[in-house]
Amino acid sequence: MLLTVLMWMPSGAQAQLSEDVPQVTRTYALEHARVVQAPGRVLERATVIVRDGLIAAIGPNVSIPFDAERIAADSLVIYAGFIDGLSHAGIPEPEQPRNQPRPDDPGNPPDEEAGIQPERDVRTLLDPKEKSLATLRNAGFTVAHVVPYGQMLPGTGAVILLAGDDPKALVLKGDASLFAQFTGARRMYPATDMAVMSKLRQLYREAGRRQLMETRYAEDPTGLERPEYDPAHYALFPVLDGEKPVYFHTENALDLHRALDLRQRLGFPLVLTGLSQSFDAVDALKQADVPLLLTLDLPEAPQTPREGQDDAAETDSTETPPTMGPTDEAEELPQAQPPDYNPDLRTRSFEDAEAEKKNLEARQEMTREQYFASAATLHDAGLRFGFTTLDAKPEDVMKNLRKMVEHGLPEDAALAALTTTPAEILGLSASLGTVEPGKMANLVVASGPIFEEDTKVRYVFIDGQKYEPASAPATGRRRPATRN
Amino acid sequence: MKTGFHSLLLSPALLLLASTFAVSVQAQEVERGDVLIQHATVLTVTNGTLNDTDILVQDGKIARIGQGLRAPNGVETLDATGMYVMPGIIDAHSHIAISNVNESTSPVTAHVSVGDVLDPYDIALYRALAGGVTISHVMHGSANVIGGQNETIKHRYGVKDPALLPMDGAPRTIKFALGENPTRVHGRGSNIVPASRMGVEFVIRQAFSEAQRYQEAWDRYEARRQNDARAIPPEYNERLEVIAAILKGEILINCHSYRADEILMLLDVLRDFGVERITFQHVNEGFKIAPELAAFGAGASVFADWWAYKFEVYYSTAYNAAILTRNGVVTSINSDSQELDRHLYHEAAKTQKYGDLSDDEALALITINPARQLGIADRVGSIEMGKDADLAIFNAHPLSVYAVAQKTIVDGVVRFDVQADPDDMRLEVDPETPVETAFLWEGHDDRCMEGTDLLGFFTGQ
Repeated sequence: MLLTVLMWMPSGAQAQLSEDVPQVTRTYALEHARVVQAPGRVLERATVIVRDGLIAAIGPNVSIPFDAERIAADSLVIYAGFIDGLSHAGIPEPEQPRNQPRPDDPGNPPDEEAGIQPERDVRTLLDPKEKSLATLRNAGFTVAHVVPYGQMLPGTGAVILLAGDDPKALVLKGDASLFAQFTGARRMYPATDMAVMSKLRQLYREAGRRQLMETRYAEDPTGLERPEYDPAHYALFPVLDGEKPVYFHTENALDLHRALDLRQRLGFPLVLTGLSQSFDAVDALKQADVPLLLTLDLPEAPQTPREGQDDAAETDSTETPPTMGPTDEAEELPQAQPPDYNPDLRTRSFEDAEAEKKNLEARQEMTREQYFASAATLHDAGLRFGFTTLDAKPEDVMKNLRKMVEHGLPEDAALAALTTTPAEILGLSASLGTVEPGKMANLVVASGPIFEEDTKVRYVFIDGQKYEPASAPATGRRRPATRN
Repeated sequence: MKTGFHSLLLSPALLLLASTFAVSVQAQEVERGDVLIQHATVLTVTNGTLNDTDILVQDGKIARIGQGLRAPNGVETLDATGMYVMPGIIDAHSHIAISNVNESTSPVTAHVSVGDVLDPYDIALYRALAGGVTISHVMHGSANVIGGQNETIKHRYGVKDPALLPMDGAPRTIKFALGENPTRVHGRGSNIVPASRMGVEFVIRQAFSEAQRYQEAWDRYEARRQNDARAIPPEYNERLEVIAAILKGEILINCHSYRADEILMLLDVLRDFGVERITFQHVNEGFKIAPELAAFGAGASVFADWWAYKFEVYYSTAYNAAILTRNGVVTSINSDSQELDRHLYHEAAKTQKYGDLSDDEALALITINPARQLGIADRVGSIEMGKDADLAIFNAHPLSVYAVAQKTIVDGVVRFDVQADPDDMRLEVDPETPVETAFLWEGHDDRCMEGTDLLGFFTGQ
């Protein structure tokens, strides 16, 4: 009899390959939680029913299905699962080729060597075991728009779930975008940014001609030369038709201007990503009116050892008024003392070098603050944006988000950037981005309000499947997540 | 969407029109100022020297030059008693304010342009302003035979949008390079043509011929299109588009060159292909062939006294600029350096010791002459009514060794003021690199060959 029981396994038991334990249920009841359905729409105390991959019901008095795993969520807060607008999650990082032989004709190399591979489909590169999936998931992300690694045109992107058994199971929406960045080829054309821009213009315009040839040939081939297939040009056809957006990654304000210049000249649908230093280009962004994805990477202070700051440095000429010590107003700023930068400082001799150095460091600190306040700056300018973790370390994501909120980004705007806005940019608002009945059950269940310092992610639901980041033990020693 | 794009594609001329339109839209946002400069010694360069004279600037243009002028309401007055005002200095050869210098992966890269990668944050813009420079012709480097396109920019330091730097309406120019640089980078570096001076000539002739074939193919297509709706355009090639434009005289060639033989070679090639205008850069052996250069109508943009850093630059003389000038060649003195562009007025003065050029002749080398070479002489290069208000105010005659720039004005806006010049004038700050009190600096700052080590020249072969 025992044998029969052991041999009977429900058919849906392929869920966890690493453990041969069949899954008991796909129904969950998260009881009495604070549910943030969307930015600004909160249910103080409600139960969320997850069933068959969807949010089945939400309410203070919903009936709990008989087969639900009940989770007491009294002190927990539920948000819609976060969406990463642009990432390499799930894609193994390729090894850097060493001792690459110099191409025979560096001015005209094969497209693949030069990093021109717009036809490369990210779906063929996915690996569900890749570590970055787990790390992002533990930060509360449930969906990501992923693109291949590469140089100027690494390939087309896809929207994926951040958990799955095999590559096919990950994909939500394939062939979603064309990824472009200002990364030149190594030791061959196009190496510089200006060459990358030139190559993009060349590809785009020639693709237009080839599309014309294809169309004419398909209508009536008589008398016409046969159009030759070229993967790089042909991959641009949907972009020419305005059906596939180009996600252009930028790392500073100049990149941003250059990407906008290309769009102005060529007219392709554009999503600007990265946007580091975008506080210098707010007007250009407003005029451009394109979807935006802001990086979750923030600059860090240099690692130099700091001497005691209590001794006042010998400043030159005019002295700035004494800085404010820790007061009640200090809760607006992460540190009590604003850096005292003197913009009119003139260094008269080598004896003042120390004072000049401190002044420059103060300005650098102010600049870092400017970067931290980037999100707030964009928000104050009326720009809506999602987030991208492309340049960010997944471990720093929550910390950086909190820093942005501390520096003026309203919490609702931050939440929108994590949920509703990227869902809209990716064209998936109907199924993602909010906690509403009928939508996909992608949820983040946190131990408290997500932007508070000590909040931890307790559970993440992806497509109705529960995942549990390993909680840090009270000893204070951090351990990596085990069962994911 | 489809039809619209294709009709745009079918005529490259329309594409050019589109980019020209884009440029003029930005130009509307350029800041222009008003100011009245009083009681200065005005060095007009083209109309002699005027003592105790006022210049009224309105909306970025020189509105009036005269004595006893009065400022309209709200216009600031600058008292320039005892000071000298000259036209803003024009540096005809520079590599500042661009993120890339050389696309050194191919001997012919006419399609790239440094104008696509302008960097308004470059502090070198400000430092040059402190030396009276208001316009720089920022150029592609000299690694390639036919390099990329250049850009004529105004030193509007303070703007953060790169589109606000180019001087609107300035003619397009392109960089060529002869001699040791391209033969070393491509011949020795990649084992491809050119490896010798005769290879350089071949590369130019071949590129020009290809461009002629390209233009003919497009002309044939345009003709066919009138009668045949199914005509397919020939392959689009931006590189050949640009070279075809050179042959039509729409883009001015600026050619890095030293030796007399290679300069004469290029003049022969240009005659063969019907190109009528060229400015040679460096031209250290120009003194040997000054009459030939003048007969062709070629310009020369030279160093005051910089030579012997390569074999092809050995046979040189400090009298070069003077000899070229005396033989009727439109000559300018350039810097090709973000150090030298801070004292171009002294560089010009050297021609008074080496060649006995007059004050106006020497000043012309850094004002009206480079303006003529760049095709902007109707707008800048001298102090005349109606011209752009690009002015430099010095506390002594600029050709005097005691001269220090006091104020530099671009489009009527004071962009440098020695009285308001704190140490830290940066527009951007790297948030992560530690602030160092000392740093190691190797080599001189010649950017002409920057980017060429991509091909592993120093480690290969």
